[in-house]
Amino acid sequence: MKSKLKLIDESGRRIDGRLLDELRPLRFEVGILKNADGSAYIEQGGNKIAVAVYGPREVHPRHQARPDRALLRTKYRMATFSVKDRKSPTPGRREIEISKVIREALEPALLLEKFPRTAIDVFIEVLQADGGTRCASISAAALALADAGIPMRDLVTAVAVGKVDGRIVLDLNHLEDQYGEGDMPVAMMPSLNAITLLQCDGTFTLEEFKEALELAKKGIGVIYEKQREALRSKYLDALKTYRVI
Amino acid sequence: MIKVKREKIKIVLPGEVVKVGDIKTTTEVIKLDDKLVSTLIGIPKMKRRRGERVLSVLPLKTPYIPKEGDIVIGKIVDIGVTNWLVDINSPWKAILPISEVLSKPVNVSKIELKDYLNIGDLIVARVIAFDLTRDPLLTIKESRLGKATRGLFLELSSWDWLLLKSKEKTLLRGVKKKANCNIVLGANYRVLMIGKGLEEELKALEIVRETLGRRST
Amino acid sequence: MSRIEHVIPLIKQKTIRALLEKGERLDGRKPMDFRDVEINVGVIDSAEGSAIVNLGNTMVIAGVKLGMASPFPDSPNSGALIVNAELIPLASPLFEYGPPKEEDIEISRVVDRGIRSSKLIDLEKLVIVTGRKVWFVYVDLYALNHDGNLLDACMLAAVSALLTARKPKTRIEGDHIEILDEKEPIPIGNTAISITFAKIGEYVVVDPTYEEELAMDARLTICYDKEGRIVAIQKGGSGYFTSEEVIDLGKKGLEISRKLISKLPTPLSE
Repeated sequence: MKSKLKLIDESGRRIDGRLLDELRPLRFEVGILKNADGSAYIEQGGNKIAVAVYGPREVHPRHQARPDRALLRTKYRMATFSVKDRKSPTPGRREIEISKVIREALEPALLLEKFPRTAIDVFIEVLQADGGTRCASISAAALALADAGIPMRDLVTAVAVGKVDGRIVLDLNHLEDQYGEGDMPVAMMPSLNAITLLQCDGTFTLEEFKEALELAKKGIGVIYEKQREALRSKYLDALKTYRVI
Repeated sequence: MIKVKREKIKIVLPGEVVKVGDIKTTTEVIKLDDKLVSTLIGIPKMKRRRGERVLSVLPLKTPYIPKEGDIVIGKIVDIGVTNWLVDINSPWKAILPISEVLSKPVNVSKIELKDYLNIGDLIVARVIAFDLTRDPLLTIKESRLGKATRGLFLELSSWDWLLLKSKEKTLLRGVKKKANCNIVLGANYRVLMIGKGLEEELKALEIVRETLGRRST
Repeated sequence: MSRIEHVIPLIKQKTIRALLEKGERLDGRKPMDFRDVEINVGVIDSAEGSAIVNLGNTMVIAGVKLGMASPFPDSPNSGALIVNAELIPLASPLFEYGPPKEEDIEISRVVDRGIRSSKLIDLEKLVIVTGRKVWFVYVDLYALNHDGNLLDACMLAAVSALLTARKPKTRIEGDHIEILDEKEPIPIGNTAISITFAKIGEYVVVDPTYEEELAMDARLTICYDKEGRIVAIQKGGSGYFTSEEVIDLGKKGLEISRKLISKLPTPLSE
């Protein structure tokens, strides 16, 4: 199966018609959940993910509280119907690992020392999955955190790059992720040129690694602008609902 | 306080360079080399303070951070042996000690705290101490402070609150004159309208909505 | 320490009751007004059926998945229905991830009973090979925003997702069951709708908001089918209803359910 499936055709188009360095259709929405302190929604290709942020708020259980900073907690979960075969409602090891790396991707951006002895909770629910959910989750979570008014050094933006039929490609979809030769999720604080998440699964030569990272940066630049646009338009719209400013 | 022409509104985002140069800033702006970077979503403002230029960002959304002297509207959420725990819509729960409620010293074993303030009661209080190492401390031992026995209670977004605050004088006067109500703008984005009855308070709510310039609050 | 966020300011409770005395509610509704309902179906490609329901500010998503399995020993000639509701923390600062709690399970079971008693799905038509292979229909519900009456929102979402769900066709050759790409609607026989009332002091309102739920003494949910028959009832909360009240609400609920049924999507099988 793996060798049979052709993921890139003779004209250099990918299985969904994209060019090697082309992102999937991408859409953000900010402030979709009324009860959360901040929230965001992302559609990236077939991914549909909702993120809610609560806090800074009191820590339960109390002994987890840190005297000098806020505790950042993230939970990444997949809805049972988000994948082809119904997923068990209990979180698996994959969801737990992803929750951790997402937290560590977001943490460098947050000025947690401003809220000692509190907790900031980031809840991520994948409603539909199509490859690259951890990256899409990070990009959306950054917006939800900004929407909650949590001070940040920069937004965090993420994308996966990978190796498919021997070529380095941007923003893997589910099929490329499953049948390709390598997958490398990258998250950055773009204006600080700081990498906050880097993983790799598959084989890359050092040259390919370099090329992949460059391509990731290029994709991140585009996604960053979309994130900023979504935030700006939500808050400008909110201001416009007032008669007088 | 907030007077920006709509077409001239500039919103900055976290990570965005607001200005470059050696200018003083408030805490929502951080310095990276000579770049002044916003950490919040807000409207940048240049102020003069003691002859010096100071760059700040007026946040469009921010949690309430208690300050000494703030008048807040709190909700009693728990009762301890010698104090009440108060939700003041901030990241930290506030403490209201018995000594800041009763004027005379009492023997705590002889009284029931819930007879004074019970869970769910709203209070108008003043923040008398707060720093990042300790929970905010409240008092209600001043005139105009104390338990609210009736009234219409509103929780606003930080931006709505800021807007109301900037029109506080007109609002207070209008609510008094047209609705015969008193209105408390708690610094913690909470509002309490207190009149003789519900009719008056609903009228006051209308005036608040008009002041915000839109229907929903 | 107690779950402090559950506290509704006492003066807000007073306001809610004072308004009810005048036949009014905080959000401007009359006591027997249901909030606006918006239903979007087919929102999740990876599900066989799906729906997002917005009931005022309450938001719920439902997804239907099908799985082939051996039938339960006591019903060899029947497919199976499994309803699972999760009140996830995106919906409310009070919710946490973890094993399902009483509230989640109550919603799952009431929705399940409404669907089952009304025979909304014809489970007997979900048999692939008698006694050996049947379809299991999983309805998974997630609360996305909680502003009261999650139960009715979950019922609307579950039913909307089922009415528009498709199952793959199968071909049987000897011992082998082949699942085909071609799909057909799942067999629908009825519809089900739930109406929830909240009793606050001596007053009763339909479709309570979250604040009204915090102020309520008791709750009554009545499920109806499309013929107007009662197919499930659940009383909740620590207060009570009189027998006159429950009969009266049975009648009022029926009227409201008739209006609400028209908002449901047309079943694919019709």
